[in-house]
Amino acid sequence: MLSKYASMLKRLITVNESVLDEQFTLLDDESDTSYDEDGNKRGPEVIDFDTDENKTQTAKRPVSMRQFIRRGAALYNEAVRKAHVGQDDDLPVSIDQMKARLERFFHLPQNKDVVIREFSVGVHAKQPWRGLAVFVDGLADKTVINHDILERLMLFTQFIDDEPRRNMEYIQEKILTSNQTAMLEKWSEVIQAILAGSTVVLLDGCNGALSVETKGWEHRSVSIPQTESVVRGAHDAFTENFRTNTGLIRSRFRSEHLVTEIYSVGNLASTDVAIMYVHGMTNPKLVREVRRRIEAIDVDYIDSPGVLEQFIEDEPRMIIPQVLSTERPDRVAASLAEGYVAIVVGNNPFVLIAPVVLYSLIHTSEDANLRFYAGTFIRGLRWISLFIACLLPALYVAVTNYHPEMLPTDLMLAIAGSREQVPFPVIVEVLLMEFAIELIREAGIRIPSVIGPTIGIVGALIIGQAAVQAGIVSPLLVIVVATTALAGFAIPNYELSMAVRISRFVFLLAGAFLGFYGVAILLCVSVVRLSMQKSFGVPILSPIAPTKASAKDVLIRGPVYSMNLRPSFLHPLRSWRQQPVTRPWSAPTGKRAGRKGNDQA
Amino acid sequence: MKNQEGKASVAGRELTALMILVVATNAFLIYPQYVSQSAYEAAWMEPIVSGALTLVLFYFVEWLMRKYYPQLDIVEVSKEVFGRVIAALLAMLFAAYFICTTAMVVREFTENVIMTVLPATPILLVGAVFMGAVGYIAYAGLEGISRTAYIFLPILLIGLVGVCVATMNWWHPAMLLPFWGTGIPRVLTGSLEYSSVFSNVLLLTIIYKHAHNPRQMRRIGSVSVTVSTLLLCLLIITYHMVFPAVESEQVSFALYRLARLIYLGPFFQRLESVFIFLWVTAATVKMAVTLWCSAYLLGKAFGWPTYRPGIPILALLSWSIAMWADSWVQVVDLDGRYLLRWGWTVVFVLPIVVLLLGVVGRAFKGSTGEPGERRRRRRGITHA
Repeated sequence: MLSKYASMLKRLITVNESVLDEQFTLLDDESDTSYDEDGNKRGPEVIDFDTDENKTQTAKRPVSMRQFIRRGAALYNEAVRKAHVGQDDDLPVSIDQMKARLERFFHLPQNKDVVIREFSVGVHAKQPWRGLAVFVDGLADKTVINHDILERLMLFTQFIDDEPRRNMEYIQEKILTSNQTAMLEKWSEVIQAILAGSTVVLLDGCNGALSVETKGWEHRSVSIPQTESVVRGAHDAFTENFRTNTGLIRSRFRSEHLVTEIYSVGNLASTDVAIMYVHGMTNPKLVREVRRRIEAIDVDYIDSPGVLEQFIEDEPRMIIPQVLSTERPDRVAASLAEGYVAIVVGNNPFVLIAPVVLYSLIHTSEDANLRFYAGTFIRGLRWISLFIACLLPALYVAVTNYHPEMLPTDLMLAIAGSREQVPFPVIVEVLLMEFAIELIREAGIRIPSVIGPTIGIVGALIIGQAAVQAGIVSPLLVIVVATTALAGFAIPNYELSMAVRISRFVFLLAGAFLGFYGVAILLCVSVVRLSMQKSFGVPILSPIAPTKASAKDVLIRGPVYSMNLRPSFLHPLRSWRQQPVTRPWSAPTGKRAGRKGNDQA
Repeated sequence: MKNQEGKASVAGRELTALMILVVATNAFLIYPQYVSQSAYEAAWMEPIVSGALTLVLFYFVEWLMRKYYPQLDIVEVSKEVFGRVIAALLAMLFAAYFICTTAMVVREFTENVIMTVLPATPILLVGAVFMGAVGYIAYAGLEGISRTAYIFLPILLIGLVGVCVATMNWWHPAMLLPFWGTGIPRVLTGSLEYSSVFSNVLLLTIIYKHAHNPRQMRRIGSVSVTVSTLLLCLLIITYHMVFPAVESEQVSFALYRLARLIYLGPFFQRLESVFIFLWVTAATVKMAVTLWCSAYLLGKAFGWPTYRPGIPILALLSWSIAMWADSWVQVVDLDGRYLLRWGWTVVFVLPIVVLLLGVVGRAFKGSTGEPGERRRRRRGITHA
């Protein structure tokens, strides 16, 4: 008892460093290569996960870049090879061997997602014929498995032949009623089929596997677009299902010439990537280039189009996107009809369109549905918005700092009066406000939807009222910043909007340091940079710089009946999209055959 | 932007815009001042005479290039005519002219910027920013420059015409009289002396092979010379209708003086700051062209695999030369006395002499086969 109290007292007045050692610290796993809870005891399966790539490099000797790349590539290739050991083998004949292999590939019994259901084929068979149904719980539709696979095989199957292979073919042709089945020979095919949501049936004595399509995981149904809403136009958007998305495109673009090529990207976990184009119309060189860039991706995992586009863009360091990301099937269908290529990436509600020109980032699918006056008007509004969002704060700072003489005297006095109470320089004032706006914008996206409306009230109070009353900013600046923010929201493409948000600060600094002169210089440099940028071989400022013959669908929106030709910068195989005279019955417009320039393309 | 120079191919409209910008930018420089000194009230005639002369020479040179030297530039022609050494010397002469032009323009524009909008900013900072931007644009190559020129051309056209029209309430057409100014002989000699602003002929001999369609060259020359002549003429007429000839000969920045006068009510007045977008964009493109030309010519003359590494060096050299003069007055004097007055020898005479000597030499040697064959034989390459 005494010693107990002595121990307690000692712990109170002394520091025991061994307490710190009890905390877990993640270090290299030198001895243990198992994921079991009692890690040092090896289980029945010996799997070498301790690959070289996971070890921390201890060599300090500097190496050349070429050596570094070569060594990295060798390590990566070795790791990929180890992760796929045995997957190129053919299937064995024995069901026990099959099961052992499956348990090894899917790391059973730790892995609880993969289900291996053992059963016997046929009720009245003289000797039970063992089989396996393998699927991933949560990916496969259990109703289909129960009724269309297991029930039919276990209760309604009776073989007339002793040859297992022939019986397997009999099952495929006569027993299973699934709409898609395939006979697989290799383990890699079996694994991919299981991971894609199919159920694989294996039978004893047969060195083939039957893949039955049973995809049935949960996903969001088709709903309205979140970022590309329109008043007049379709209201459906892509969803988190690969096949639904390709189906949505095909349902709009009903052509036998629409081709969907599907590739698998990712060494550790594969993602389906589809290239869609119109055969006989889209430039084959463009299709080959898209295919080449996607096939060149050699990574462990790609999930989203946003990641994939960084691997296939011409210049990913550029601030402007070089592929168009959209969630609207009608926009993809219209682009396919023009000669673009669509890229669908996995289960993701955004589809990429390549190549892209700067002007198409300002267009919306609504433009085509409106009369060309209205289409041109709203397009013009967006162009003005683009310049306001990019330049207005910079011009405000430049005018107030360097060029006040160009303001009317009354306005100049008003600005000076409103700034009288403000203790900061204009640039600090603008940066504070811009920072607040960006904060509200970012918080508005992350904030839980139940308190979403609050952000508007808080933002309005902070920016509109409190900041002015506190004398931190001038009232005129509130108008400038609010107009800039509104203009930013009017830009239809999210990535372009992000680019403008960042550019705005650069222009702001240029305006603060050198006034209009700095802004003009930066504008020149930006235009040159843009004019040299390409997207899949197409200059991003086409068809204006370089000049190409084009329909009136660049800065303005022309009448649909006079836009006869497809964009020449895509070099499509079919340049005419309609008859030269599309309204022969109409006296005022019947003779109109599009621009002369179109015909020279 | 890597290695674009070897395959640069520029469309006709972009080349037209580039040539217009290169020539019309002189409206912001000392050209109006010098033609005013030369011809007084008839100063507006000088760009017309110079433009007409340029057009004739342009057609002649274009014919020579098309007939005798397709797919060649002036350095390659010089190599064929005189050999590598003299060709290199000629290229250095042309490059020196372009470097000096760049230096003068950067200094004049820098002084203009400081005088008008940034009076408290150090000239070194303003010049460095300018030269950095010019170097970057020149680095982009001919394609980048010409595309930029095409995008900025509307700004130049709208701006120049705008500044002329917006000063309408100050116009006094009677100030254009007497009609012949200092007299016809002075007008003609002034037109010849200051015709170097029309550098289309020299540019033609450099960029001919980069034209997407060389058959359009005649059209490109016609449009560019005509439009730039009209722009210069319009500005000088307006300038002389607003300011008396005696006064206008003493002011070196005509456009700024005109822009300062704009008063279209209390909300549209003192717009000279807005026109800085016009000056800067036009000047940047012009200097990028001259800088690119100098680097390109030197690269060709000395067989550099690429001219691009030369761009920063030449930009720095131009800037150093630009900062050499002590004052703005000295810059104007140097430019007027040497570059503007004697530039026509480099811009017109030298390229034409080289081309003609080549034609004559070929006739004497009785050369057979396709033009440029000797050079290609020596290099052991065959053009498609």
